[in-house]
Amino acid sequence: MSSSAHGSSYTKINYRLRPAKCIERKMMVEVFRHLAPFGQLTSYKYIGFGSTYFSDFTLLHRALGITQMISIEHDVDNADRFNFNRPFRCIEMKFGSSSTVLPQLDWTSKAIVWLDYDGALTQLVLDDIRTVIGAALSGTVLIISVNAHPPNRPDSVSPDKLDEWRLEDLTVKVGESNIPQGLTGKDLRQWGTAVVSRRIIHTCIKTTLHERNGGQPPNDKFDFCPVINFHYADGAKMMTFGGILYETGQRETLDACRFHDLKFACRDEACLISVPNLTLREIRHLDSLLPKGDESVLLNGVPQKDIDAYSEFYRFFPNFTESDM
Amino acid sequence: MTSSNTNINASPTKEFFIHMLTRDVSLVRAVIDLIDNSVDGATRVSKNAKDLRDFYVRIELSKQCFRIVDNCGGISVRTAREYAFRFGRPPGVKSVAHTIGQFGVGMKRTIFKLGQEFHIKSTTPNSHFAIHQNVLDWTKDPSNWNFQFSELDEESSFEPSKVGTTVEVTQLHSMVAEQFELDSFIKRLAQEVKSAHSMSIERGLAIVLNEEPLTHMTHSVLQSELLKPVSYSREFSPTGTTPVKVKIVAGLSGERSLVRGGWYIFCNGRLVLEADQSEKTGWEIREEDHEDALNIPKYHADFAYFRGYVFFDSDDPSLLPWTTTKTGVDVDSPVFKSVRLDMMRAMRPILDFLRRLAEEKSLKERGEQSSTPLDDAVKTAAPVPHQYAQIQTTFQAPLPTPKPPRTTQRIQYDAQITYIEQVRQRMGQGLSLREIGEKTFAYYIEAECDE
Repeated sequence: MSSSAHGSSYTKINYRLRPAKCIERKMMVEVFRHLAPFGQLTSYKYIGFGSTYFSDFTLLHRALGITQMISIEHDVDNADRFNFNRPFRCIEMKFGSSSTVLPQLDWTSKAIVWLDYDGALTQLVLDDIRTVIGAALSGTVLIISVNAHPPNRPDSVSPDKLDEWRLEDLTVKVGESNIPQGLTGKDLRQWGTAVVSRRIIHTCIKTTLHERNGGQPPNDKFDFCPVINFHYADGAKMMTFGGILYETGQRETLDACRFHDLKFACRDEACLISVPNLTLREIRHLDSLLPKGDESVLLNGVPQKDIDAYSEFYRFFPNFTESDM
Repeated sequence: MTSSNTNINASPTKEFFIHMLTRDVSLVRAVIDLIDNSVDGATRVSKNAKDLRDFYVRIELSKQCFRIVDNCGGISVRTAREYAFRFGRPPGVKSVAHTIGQFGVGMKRTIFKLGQEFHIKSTTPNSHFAIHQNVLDWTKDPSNWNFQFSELDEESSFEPSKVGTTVEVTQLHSMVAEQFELDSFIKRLAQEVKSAHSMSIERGLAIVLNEEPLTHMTHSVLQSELLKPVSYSREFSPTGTTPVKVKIVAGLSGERSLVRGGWYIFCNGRLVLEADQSEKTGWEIREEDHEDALNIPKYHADFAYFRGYVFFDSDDPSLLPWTTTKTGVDVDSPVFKSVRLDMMRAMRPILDFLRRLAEEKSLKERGEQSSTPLDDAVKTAAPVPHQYAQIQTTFQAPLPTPKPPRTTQRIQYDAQITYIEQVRQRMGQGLSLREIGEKTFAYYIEAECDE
C-alpha cells in the first residue's frame, strides 16, 4: 500500500476506498482499448462478478460502450437487491456459483471475462479457468484476480513450521497435482504467493489449451498471450493475471493490437500498483511536471519512492474529494 | 497364367509398425519404461538389492531434447547386438533375479514415441558402443530392419566411473515437445515415478528429474502399546522351485487422507496398486453404499485412516501377481487369491475399529460421552515405517467405553397451535415448547400413573 516508512496516520490511506483497485480498473480499460483489431469493442460481451457495486460494469459501459453485460452472483437468495442495484439496463444478472453459470453461458461470441474472486486461488477457480479456456473464441480476454496474501498460520502451528504449513495449505486449496514440482514453502513468502498463483493459473491455461488443441490443424490451434500481470495491496496482497486467447492463424491480428506499447502490459515481472498518499496540492504540483522529461521530479518532504510511484500511475490516479460539512 | 512372380507381399511396413507400437502407450508410461530399465540395471549390478546408494538416474526433458543418463551397469555390446533392440523378446534370454523389466518392448517403443532422432551410448566394464539413428532415414529402407553401431569396442576395459548408459532423443514430435514444457506434465511424471519407484529411492537410488531429486513416499503405520498393527510374512512355492515371499502390514496411518487410504501392493519393490479401496483388495460394496450416488458414503470417510501394505518378492518375476504392463494387480494369480483372503482377514478388525472411532467421535460431539479412549489411543501412537512394525498376526486396539443403558427416550410430535396457546394460558406464558411438552407429560404421569 503506501510506500512511506514512517507509518504515521497521514501516510496511510483509508483502505476502504481501495485506490489501487481503482487504478487497476482504469489500466484494464486502457488494455481493452487495444482490442480493436479483433473487432469493435461493442461487439464484445463483458462477464464479471458485479456484486452490489458493479464498479467494473459501470466503468466499462461508460468508457467502452459495451452493452452485452453479464454479472454472475452467487447470493441467489437476494436476487431482488442485485437487480435493483444494476446501474444500467444492459446488465443481465445470472444467479448461481461461477462453476454452475460459466458452463451455461454462450461462448459463441468474443468476450472479456474478468473473474475477480474474493478469496485465494483454489480448485474451483482453476475449474472456471478450464471452462472458459476450453470453450471461448479467439479474441476472448480472460482475467483472473485472486487474493495472494501469504496466509497466517493457525495457533496450533509453531512459527518455525510456517513455511511448511503454507505449502500444505496451498496443496489443500489447489490439489497436489497443481503444485509445481519442487515448490517449497519459502517460495510463498511476501509476494511469492502471488508469483506462484500466477504460475499455477498459467499452467492451467496452457494445459487446457494443449487438450483443446488435440487433433486440430496448426492454424486452428489456440494459444494464450499473457498481457496483464499486476500486484497490488489496498489491504491484503492481491494479484491479477490476464491475457488474450487467439488462434495461431490470427497471430497478425494479435500483433496489430500492439499491447507492448503499454508500459505496464506484457511484462514477465509483475507490475506493482502502489498508491502513494499525497495531498491535493502535491498532486497538482506533480501533475504540472508530468509526463516526465529528462529532469528529475522533486518535491519537498515527499519520499522519492512516492514521487516515482505517482509518476508511473498518475494518469490512472483516482480523484478523491473531501468536503467539509 | 503366365506370371512367374507368385509372391504376395504380406510384410509389415515400418510406418505401420511404429504406429502400432506407440499408439497404446501414454507419454508418461513411455518415459517410466526407460527409468525401469535403469532401476533394473542398478538392482542387477548392485551387490545388495537393498542398497542402491551408488546409483543414479538423471532425466532431462525440454522441448528440444529428451535425455536419460544413468550409471546402472550399462548395456553390453552383446545384449545390444542380439537382444535389446529386437522387437519382441527372443527365447533363451535368462530372466535376471529380482528385476522389474523384461526388456521386450520398452526402449524402442519409447524412442519412437518421443522423436525422430536418437543417440544411445553405453559402457560396461568391458565394452562400449554408440548408436546414432534417424528414424525417418531408417523408415525409408523397407528391407533393412537393422540399426548400425557408430562406435563399437569389445576389447578394452573401462573404469567403473565410466560405466552407464545415456539415451538421448531429439527432433521431438510436436505433441511431445509441448507436453515437456507443461508444469502439469512434469508434475504428473514426477508423482508416478516417485510412486512406482518409492522403494528403490528409499534404498538409496537417486532419481533426478530436471535437476530436481525425487523423494520417496514414506509408508508407515501407527504403533504403540495400545495400538498394534498387523505385520507378518508368508511364503508360497507355486512351482515348487522358486519361492514367492509375501509380507503383510496393515493398520492406521497418522494421516487421515481420503485419497491415500486403502491397500498398497508392491511387486519386487515396485508399487503396482496404490490406495486401493475396491473389491480387488477385498473391500465389500454393500447395497447401502449405493443409496445416495451423489455423496461419498459415510463409511469411506471413516476409512480414510486405513493403510494396508502387501509386499510380494520373488527371484522369478513371472510368479508375481502383476499385469504385463506392471501397472496393476493380476487378480487371477493364485498367489494373490490366497493372499487376498489374508488381507480381508487383517482388514476386518481395523475397519471395525475405525467405525467405532467415528461413533465415539459423534457421541462426544453430542455430549453423550466425555471419555474418548479410542481417539486417545490413536493420538498417542507413533508412526513407524512399515519395515519396523513388530510382528503381530491380528490387529490390537482398545475397546470403546461401554455405553450405559439408556434410561430416556425422545418423544416428538406436532400439536395444534390453538391448543398450545390454551395450555400456555393456563401454565404460564413464558414457557418454551419443550417445557410445555415436559410439563404436560409430567401432569399425566402424576394424575394417572401409579409410581
